[in-house]
Amino acid sequence: MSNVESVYELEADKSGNGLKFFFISKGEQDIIKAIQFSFVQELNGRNIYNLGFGDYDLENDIIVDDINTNNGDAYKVFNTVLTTIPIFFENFGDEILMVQGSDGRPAFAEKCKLECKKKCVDECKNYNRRINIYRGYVDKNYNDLSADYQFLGGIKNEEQQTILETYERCKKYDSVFLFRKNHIFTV
Amino acid sequence: KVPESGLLSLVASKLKDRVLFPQKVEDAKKYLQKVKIA
Repeated sequence: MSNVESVYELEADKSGNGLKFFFISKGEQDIIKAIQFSFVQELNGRNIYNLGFGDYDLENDIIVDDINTNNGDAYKVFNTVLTTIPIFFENFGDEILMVQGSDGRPAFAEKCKLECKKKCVDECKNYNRRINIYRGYVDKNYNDLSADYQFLGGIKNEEQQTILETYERCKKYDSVFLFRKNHIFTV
Repeated sequence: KVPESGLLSLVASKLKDRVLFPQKVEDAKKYLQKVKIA
């Protein structure tokens, strides 16, 4: 799912709560990164897992997932996260993975306005930025990825109902769902 | 001077039983409350 040469070495932990990975981002500073695939709930008889990703602050023993660290190695960090997805499916082959950015929360834009230097007028440019990066990757590599995975795009409608549909390239979604192709998701 | 692999092992064991992103799991549950599959 990504170029192996441009990724960080991972520490995997399959015990305990869900599947976890840790690595050190080595840019302007060393930052411990954490990834966790967590069970969310069942949907149509299939388990949905969520991909969580953020920084681990060792000194304060907290995880932070709503800031951009700008460590100068975003491409390598993103690639490293991508390498964990096939490993997730090796361990949870029948499940569905849900990807959503932490900058897609309703309160994100309001919080961003207070701290951001961009001074956006109409729409916060950072809102849903992370899911747009994932979508960009899926759009660009859709043909290759479709050999192994089936994708659904998720979007909230005006009635605050989440619509899941077969993924269409270059369409704006606020979440992406994927599962192994040999497992049919029936409705 | 802790080797990196040792540091990550320590972090992994420290966070072994923890849900690292509880807010994201809650967000996901809310997101899936009313789902229509098209």
